[in-house]
Amino acid sequence: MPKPKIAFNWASSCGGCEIAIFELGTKLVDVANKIDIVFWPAAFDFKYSDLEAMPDKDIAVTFFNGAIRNSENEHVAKLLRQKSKLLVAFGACAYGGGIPALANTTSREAIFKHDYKETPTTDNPQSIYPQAKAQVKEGELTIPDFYNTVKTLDQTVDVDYFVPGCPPVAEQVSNVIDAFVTGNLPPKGAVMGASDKSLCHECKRVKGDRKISKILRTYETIPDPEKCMLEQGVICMGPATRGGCRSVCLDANMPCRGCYGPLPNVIDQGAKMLSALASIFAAENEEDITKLAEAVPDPVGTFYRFSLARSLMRRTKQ
Amino acid sequence: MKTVTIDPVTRLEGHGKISIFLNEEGNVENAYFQVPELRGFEKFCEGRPVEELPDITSRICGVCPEAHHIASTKALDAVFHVDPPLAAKKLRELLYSAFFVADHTTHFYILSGPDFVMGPTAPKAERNILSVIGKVGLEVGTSIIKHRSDALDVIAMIGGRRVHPTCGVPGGVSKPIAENERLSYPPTCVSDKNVQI
Repeated sequence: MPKPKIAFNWASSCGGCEIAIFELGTKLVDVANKIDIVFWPAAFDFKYSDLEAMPDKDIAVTFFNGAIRNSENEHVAKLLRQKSKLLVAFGACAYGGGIPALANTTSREAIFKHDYKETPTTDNPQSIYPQAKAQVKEGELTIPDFYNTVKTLDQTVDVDYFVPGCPPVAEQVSNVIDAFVTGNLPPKGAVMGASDKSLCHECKRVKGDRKISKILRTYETIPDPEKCMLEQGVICMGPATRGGCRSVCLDANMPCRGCYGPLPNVIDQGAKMLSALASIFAAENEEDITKLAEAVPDPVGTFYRFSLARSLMRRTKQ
Repeated sequence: MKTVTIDPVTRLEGHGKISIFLNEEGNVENAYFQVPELRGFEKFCEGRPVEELPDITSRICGVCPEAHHIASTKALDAVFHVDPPLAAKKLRELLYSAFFVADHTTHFYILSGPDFVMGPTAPKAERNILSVIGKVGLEVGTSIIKHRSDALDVIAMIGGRRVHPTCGVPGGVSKPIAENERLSYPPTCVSDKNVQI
């Protein structure tokens, strides 16, 4: 029997998900003996033309990381969907938009103007901006069309499974790979490689009465490493975030920023966090509640750090 | 004019495309290297709490997040006009040194090395880390993987995470190396490498 074909791809991402796969180490070498890797730009030299030449559904499973930021990301997502039996949204960007989706608070035009004109290290007196097609003396050059809004993978093509995390932690990547190797797969649409409970369930910190009367920025306090971060006034996304990461950030005495995405049956991670936060505000009247809420300097970047594209808002109004 | 397109450029972090134009004699008339990606960090970081930027900007690159994290953390020192205590400077430097080892193994063995070890004329299906391990043997391959993983253990011990460290705060780092962490380090990581913390 021929070995099952596997593909990995990155779209609008940072490469951290690739490092998470490299982290499999010797296990990757073992697994690689049982499979045939047919596309993986970070580690193999196959080109888009090789992908295009494959028969439809020839790839058993594709692990796709990165958000859909431009027309190349979208084209390759559609191509891989066509060529793959199973498609996995791997990592926070493919799942929820991730950090690249913070750009949904701005616009294509504003990004171009800032990045190619206004930054202090840019010298662009002719105001030249990227064009999808450009004529040079030898012929035509093309680059992808940069979209106004960052999307998730499943807002672009049908997705079979989701693996959250920025990036997914090594043990979870290993669990996910095992599930595909053994064929012991959950129903379509499932989130794999994460817990079904909130991060608070695996956080080792001691929780008290969970009432807060002030909100502190991380530089305003040195948190007690034994006590609940949120109760000390530092916004920690734990209550609204899936567990599975082994609370690594909290072990480093920093708050959870929510990279494992929303809890099961929660559409909007930020709204869930707002609800969790409102329930622990030690405030007697509306004025105090407003004062507490206003102490959060960047609500979108705090509550939707990794999930803005997946949220109900998706982007700011223009 | 005939065009040869290399798309995507592989085995580097990021996206690249090369368009090579050939003249009638089949020689290269001109070649263009294009970077067909942009995320706009410069714009979407504006207005965010400055102390959150080491967490956000590390996502510029997941292969070298330590570089972005530490650069952003040092910028925080400047913004807050604080000089970290010596212990914090040493911890940051130790994290960065471990990253230096991890990143060079990534770059050499996984990204650019395969073209040299397997040779430029090897079939493209062979110019990768798995074929390199096949060629140098599993013993050497396992040793490389272990040393890289050891370096990541140090990064995680100081930075809190194996990829995208989270320890950078203005004026220092968020956690010390606990005594049990320090003691657990030599037997697993450096027994054969003459390194001590």
